[in-house]
Amino acid sequence: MIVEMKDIEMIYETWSEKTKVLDIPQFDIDIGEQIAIFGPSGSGKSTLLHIMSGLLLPTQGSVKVCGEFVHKLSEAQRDHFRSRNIGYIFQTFNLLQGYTAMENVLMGMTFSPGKADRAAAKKLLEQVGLGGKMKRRPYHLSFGEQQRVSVARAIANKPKLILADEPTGSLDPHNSVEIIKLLKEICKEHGCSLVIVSHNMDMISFFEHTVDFKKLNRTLQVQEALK
Amino acid sequence: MSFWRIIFNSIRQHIGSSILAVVSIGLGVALLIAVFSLREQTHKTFTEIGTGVDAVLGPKGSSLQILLNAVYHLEEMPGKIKWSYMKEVEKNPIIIEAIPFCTGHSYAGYRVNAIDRRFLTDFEYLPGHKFSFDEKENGKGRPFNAAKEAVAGWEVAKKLHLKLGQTFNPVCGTKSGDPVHMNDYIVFVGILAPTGTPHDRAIYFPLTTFYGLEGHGTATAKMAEDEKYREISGAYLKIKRIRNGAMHPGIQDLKFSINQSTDAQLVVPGEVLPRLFSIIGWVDYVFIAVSIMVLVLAGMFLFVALLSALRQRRRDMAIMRCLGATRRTVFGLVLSEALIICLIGGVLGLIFGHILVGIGAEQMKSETGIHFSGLYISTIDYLLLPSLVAIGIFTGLIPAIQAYRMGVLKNLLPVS
Repeated sequence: MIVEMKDIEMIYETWSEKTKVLDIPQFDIDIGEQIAIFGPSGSGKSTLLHIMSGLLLPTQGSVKVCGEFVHKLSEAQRDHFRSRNIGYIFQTFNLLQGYTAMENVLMGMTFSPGKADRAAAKKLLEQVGLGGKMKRRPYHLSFGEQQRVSVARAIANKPKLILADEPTGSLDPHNSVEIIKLLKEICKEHGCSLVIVSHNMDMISFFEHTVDFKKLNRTLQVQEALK
Repeated sequence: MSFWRIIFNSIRQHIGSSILAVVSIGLGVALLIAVFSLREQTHKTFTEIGTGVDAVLGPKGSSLQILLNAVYHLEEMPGKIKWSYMKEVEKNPIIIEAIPFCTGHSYAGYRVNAIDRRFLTDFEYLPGHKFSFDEKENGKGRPFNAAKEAVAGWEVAKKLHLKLGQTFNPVCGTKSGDPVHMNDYIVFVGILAPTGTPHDRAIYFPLTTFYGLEGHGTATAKMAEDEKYREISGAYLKIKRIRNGAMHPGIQDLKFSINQSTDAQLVVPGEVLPRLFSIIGWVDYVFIAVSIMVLVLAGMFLFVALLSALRQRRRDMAIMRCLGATRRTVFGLVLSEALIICLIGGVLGLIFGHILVGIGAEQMKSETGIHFSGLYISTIDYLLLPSLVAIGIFTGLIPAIQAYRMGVLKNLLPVS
């Protein structure tokens, strides 16, 4: 298994109230698997990805990703874990605006144990169809092209798992399809697992293995029952 | 992508404020370098030149004025002393030699001093250094042998393009508008090799010439003929040395007895120079204070620039953290950025400061005859690196801590 999550609870606390957003008894993903999680906005899908990547710690439960118990790692260890094992793709791309497409991809390698390899970065950009736009900064690229740079950056550190949080949320239907196809293809080629979360059912249809977040997250089931 | 590449990219992203910070730090450093270099070189040079003269026998008046006039060719001599008194002092067993001189004349803005010929042959302008006319050392000609002959210092000869055989009419006084001895033509027979002392800026001719100049009146002319009437501005005294090169302790008795008299006073440069430095010292402190204030302001500017840059780059930092950068890494990035800006500013300031001294050195040399060097390494040069590191840490620490404490997810929003 690439991901093994057990008895996950995530509770957000403010001074006046506690809000439980996640209650997942069990969630596993096989090595090399490509999985799409769908569900409404604000249902906690991103939080789930944050927990998998070590950006967030669950209030309770066990998270084993790429063979490491993420919830037991210190913050610095989780940063290193992420640099070695995880590629992250965001809805809003989150590219560094002051850097070229090439530098953004190199940045993906910078914090991982291996050396930042310009030739590898060039190859990745060519693979995502941006061979001629390596020196352009994000604001000189279309949204579709920016997301392609994010895909290249996510794969740059040779991760075992790619987490894509609404990767087509800012794209038109044509570019959305292109990005999903590219992601699936590139993950297959590099042998890494893919987890994508989306509320766009058109995109979900590209995946054989899909998960309804409402069924996965017991908090949502309780909320639905209360309604 | 290397750590340094990220830092330089970050500096590039706020290049305007970075350049301003570099310039202001550079300016502060340049000012400090220039002030310290000139201060130390002035003290060193004044002290060194002072050591060439053991003591000056001069008239009653300000001892500092006597020293400045006799050794540095500045100011005016406050009066005269009797030749006979000088001869009396010369008999003291601790005196090796007394070289009498008369000041008060000039030519083209340079002092013209009447002096005993032994000054050119025996006198040591610095310990172990006598005047030279050797062409290999950029000198020319010979010492004066006759009344109407003169020798020019190297700086005078260079500035006035003097040649051997050329004549001049001395001015009776040192200010512009003072009368010229129109009928007295003095011929240059020698040019002294450069010494790096104020002697490079003076012209010397024999004492007999001085007394015989037309217009000095019969009383002065009489001084040339009869020693009984003769007066001089002062005399350089060479004192016997004891072990370790120290001056003979008898100098204290001699000084006491001379200073008790109404005829003259004995000025020992080593005792008077500290007074000179204390008088000009406050100027140093003002310049040092101004330079430090410029540096402090530059540091504050850098601090504000870094904070504002960090505010604009919170998202960048969060993305880096998401890609695996640790809190320590982003802390190091911000702190290193501050250090690099400080070091670039410091290095530019260091170069500019030395260039400033180099440019000023020419001007100061022509004004005072004292040789300054732009390449002189002062105390501040050694303190520069640790000081800049301290400024860099001081200004970068708070922004770096802010970067360290920054939440990743909060600054990555919106994510979906």
